[in-house]
Amino acid sequence: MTLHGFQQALSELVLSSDLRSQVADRGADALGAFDLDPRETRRLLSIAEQSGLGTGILIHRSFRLSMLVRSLPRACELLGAGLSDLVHDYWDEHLPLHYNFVWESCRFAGYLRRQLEDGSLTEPLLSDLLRIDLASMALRRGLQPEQVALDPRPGAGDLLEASTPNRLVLFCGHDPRALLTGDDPGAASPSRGEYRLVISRQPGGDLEFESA
Amino acid sequence: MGLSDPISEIPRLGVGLSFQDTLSNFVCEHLDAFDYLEVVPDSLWDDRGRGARPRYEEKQAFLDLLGFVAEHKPIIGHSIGLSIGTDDDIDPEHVEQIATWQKRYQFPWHSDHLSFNRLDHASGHSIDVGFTMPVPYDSAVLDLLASKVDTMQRRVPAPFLLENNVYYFQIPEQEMTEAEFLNRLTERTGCGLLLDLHNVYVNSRNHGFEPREFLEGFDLTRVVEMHIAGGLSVEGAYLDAHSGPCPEAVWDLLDWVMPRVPNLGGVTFEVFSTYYPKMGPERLLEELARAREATADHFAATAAC
Repeated sequence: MTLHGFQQALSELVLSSDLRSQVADRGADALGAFDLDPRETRRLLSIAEQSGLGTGILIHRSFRLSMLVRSLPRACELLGAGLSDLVHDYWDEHLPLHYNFVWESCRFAGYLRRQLEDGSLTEPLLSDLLRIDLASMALRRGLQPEQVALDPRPGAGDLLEASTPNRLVLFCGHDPRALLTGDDPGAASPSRGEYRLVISRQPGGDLEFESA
Repeated sequence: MGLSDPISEIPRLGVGLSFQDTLSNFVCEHLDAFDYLEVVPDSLWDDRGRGARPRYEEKQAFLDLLGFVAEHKPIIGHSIGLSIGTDDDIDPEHVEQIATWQKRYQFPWHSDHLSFNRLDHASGHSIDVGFTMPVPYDSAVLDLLASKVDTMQRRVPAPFLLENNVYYFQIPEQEMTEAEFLNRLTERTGCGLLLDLHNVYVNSRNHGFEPREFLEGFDLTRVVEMHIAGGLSVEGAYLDAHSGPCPEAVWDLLDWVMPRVPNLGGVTFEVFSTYYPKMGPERLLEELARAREATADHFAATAAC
């Protein structure tokens, strides 16, 4: 039995639209990298032609995207229509290792920060909004700043004060009142400067934002 | 299985609610609306992966909530992390974690999905595809699953159920039908069946079969729990989205199945976290009340046996 090879190939058909295209173009030759018996090869060729495989791909991508949108809502909203291309590039380079929302969101945030640093992404507000989203996630889940990829060292540019479990003081390079206004954080054209934003977790679990 | 079959001795609990994080307030405010709470344990801890120490980081806010609920209602575990269909050894740390939670909350039964989602990628990394991928219904796969079910049953002292899968593509040339495969698995291992009626409905719509004829092939005496839920259509497919109220066809299917499941312990309503705000508490209360109405006679009769 080569079930392992079959499962690897089936998973790859869901993860990689490239493999599905190759199977459509080259048939069984495109599956040569997997340890398959003839019946498993026939099964995979059939699955690759079924519209239901597209549904499986849709579910896989929707779930993976939903983790990011739920955990990094402001950053994802700012990216808007550009988010789709960004996440596909990200997924091409990063396998779905597991469905830990915090871990995956921090990994994506790190990917975006590297894009900002090397200049391939130029959203002036993104750095601030990522910091706010990561801090919000930490407070909601009772995590330390370093557990959500925020650098707690003084002068590192993320935090302005040592944190308590229910309160974080962030550095913002733009006016946080404008960053946090309305449903479209990118529309407010916030002033540049050196600002501080205090985020507190209230007893009921809601977050309170106070800017200065 | 005879008189000692634990499936025939499971408690008749009634109607349950599947817990999601956005349901926290609902659960606390409407304890009387359901008879048990079903939890996906894997969603209430962070799993840092094999070899990590500590591997599982449990979320205190949810532990506090479960502690409160457990004082009033039974709690059932319905996992997604076993990936029992993966062609690999069972994950002993995951099994131990489930055993810990079964002991802590005294799950009267617990379950997982007949599918695979985790496996070793060709790159050497362990990956999670993120949805329940189907396994071929072949005799070799039956052997693989039976061995893993035996492991679960040896280690976790509560009846173990497997859920019939929802699938969007079909694997051709299978050696058994889904019903034959599940009947053989439950007969061979003594495990129970979690019959997800919405999965049956979704599969029947997407693959064009009559759900009652399909269910007639099952040994329904092995059904311990049933799931009901709502779905939605996207790009020509009907999805098991847990997106709101049950379709009428699922209620009809529930009515048809109820007299045929003598060992039923509970019927669980499922709605996903992201869809609950749109559904709202009043609509959820209506669904739970309707499920109670549909199952009341059955549970009254079987409890009296």
